[in-house]
Amino acid sequence: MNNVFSLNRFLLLARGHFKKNLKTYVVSCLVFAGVTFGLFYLLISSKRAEVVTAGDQFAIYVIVIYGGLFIFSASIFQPFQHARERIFQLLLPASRFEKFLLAWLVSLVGYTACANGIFFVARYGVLQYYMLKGYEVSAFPGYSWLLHQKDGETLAAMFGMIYVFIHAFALVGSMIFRKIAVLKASFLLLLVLAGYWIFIGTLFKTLFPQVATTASLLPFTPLHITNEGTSYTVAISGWLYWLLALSLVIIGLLWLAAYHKLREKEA
Amino acid sequence: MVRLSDLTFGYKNQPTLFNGLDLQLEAGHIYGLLGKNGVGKTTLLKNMIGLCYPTSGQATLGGVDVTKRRPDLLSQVFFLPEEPFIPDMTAKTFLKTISPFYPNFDRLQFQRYQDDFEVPLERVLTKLSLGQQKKFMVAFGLACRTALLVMDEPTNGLDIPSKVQFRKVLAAAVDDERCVVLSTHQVRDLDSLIDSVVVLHDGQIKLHISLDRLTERIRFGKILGTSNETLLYGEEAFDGVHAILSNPEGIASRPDLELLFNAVISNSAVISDYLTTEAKQ
Repeated sequence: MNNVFSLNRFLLLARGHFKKNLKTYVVSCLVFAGVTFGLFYLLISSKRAEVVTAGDQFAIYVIVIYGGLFIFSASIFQPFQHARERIFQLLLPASRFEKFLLAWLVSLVGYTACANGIFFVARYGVLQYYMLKGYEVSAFPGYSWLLHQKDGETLAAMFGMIYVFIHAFALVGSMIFRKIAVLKASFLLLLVLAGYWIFIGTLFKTLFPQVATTASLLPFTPLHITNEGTSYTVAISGWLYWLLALSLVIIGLLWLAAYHKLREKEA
Repeated sequence: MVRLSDLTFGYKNQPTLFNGLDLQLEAGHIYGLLGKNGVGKTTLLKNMIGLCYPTSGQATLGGVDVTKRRPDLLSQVFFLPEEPFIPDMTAKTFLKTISPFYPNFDRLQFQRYQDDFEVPLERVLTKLSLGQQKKFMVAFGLACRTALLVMDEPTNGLDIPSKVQFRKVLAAAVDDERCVVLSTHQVRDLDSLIDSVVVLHDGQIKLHISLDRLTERIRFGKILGTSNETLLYGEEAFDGVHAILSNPEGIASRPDLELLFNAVISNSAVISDYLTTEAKQ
């Protein structure tokens, strides 16, 4: 018997997972659709002009898809946190790798496919309604739209990386926190980001007290310095690829951390 | 089959529960793990099946380290906790979904147990009474035909007829290839079922002996008035003194596990020394 991965066993595990969680997933899909409808309604009704811009749609897309990803991923390992179910899950005869892989696939690939599907169906419904009411509705800003923006390539890469980072961070949160994992993980994320920004910002101001800058404070990103009316840009060549590589390393480490937490889980 | 070697365990920020514990359990036996509340019976069971990681030492099943939780090992272990997890699905769906993970699962056997326990298959498990849920899980656990079956307080929540049924079904289910470990503090529920007894007390295995061997060495009986027999331990009751006596003649008696347990944990030097010495022989 292969004790690391067996396709047959993995499919059994997946079948069991969906049978057990089917009701929860159906309700989650309905809630997701409801939130999408609600946000569209709120945003459109708060504007005076009878238009639904590409920017509006993109903003709602980012809020629901990214927010949903965090909530869903931070909940995916919750069965391993409930005292009774944890025993059942840990003793289910499948490898730890298979259990982790299933959670990873469901929360990243499965969620992305479902959430996008529901979002675009909901969007279609809402926008059809507003078009019938005479609103001017723009097309959805797709990937090509993003690429045509200023620094579009960078933006697209950043959006992608942030998406995967959110998943990885939430997965770790799901493994670490026994109760209210979503809230605790989001608070931890806030703390980590705030801590990073404060630390790097303070460090930068200490090193260059006389220089006015507009910097993203992300590692490897270009630094725009203004000194006595003259502007400079300091950038390393291929900085975007360095940033992506670093992000991938951090994301990979977070996934590994979640897997490790699953390995050492006790009941 | 099950081997605990020099096992030490303690929960985080809590005193050590077991220190250098050694225990070997063999197939073909039903072991009764006895101990007071909070002594660590459940924790010992969890260590035995890899749900807890020992601080030091090792727990193995068939020579394999249980903490690795390898699927081939897990498919040979079934653990029924005192309060088992019951998924929100029908019994039929549960069977269809979970039984394929256990290669030795016997559907016909399950059907028989389910008939014996009168558990409905069409209803959602979470809608069943606690007793029915437990009976379903017992039937499922037995039908999995795993090499190691561990049950923590299995009779808790069962009504009187179900307890009788449980004893009957379990006794019939055990064969030479299975090892069953039952943890309980309700000794009387299981005293006719187990063939070996393990007493856990003060982080130590105070006694590990088969009942056959035990009744060869000691005798359980009642003493009325004064007696010349060697009293190892006794408890006064309305009908005399319930006693554990030395048994040099090898007279057969029905073991009173409650009395034995009280004797072992009472720290009576006489009984502890006597039984420990006899058990080691």
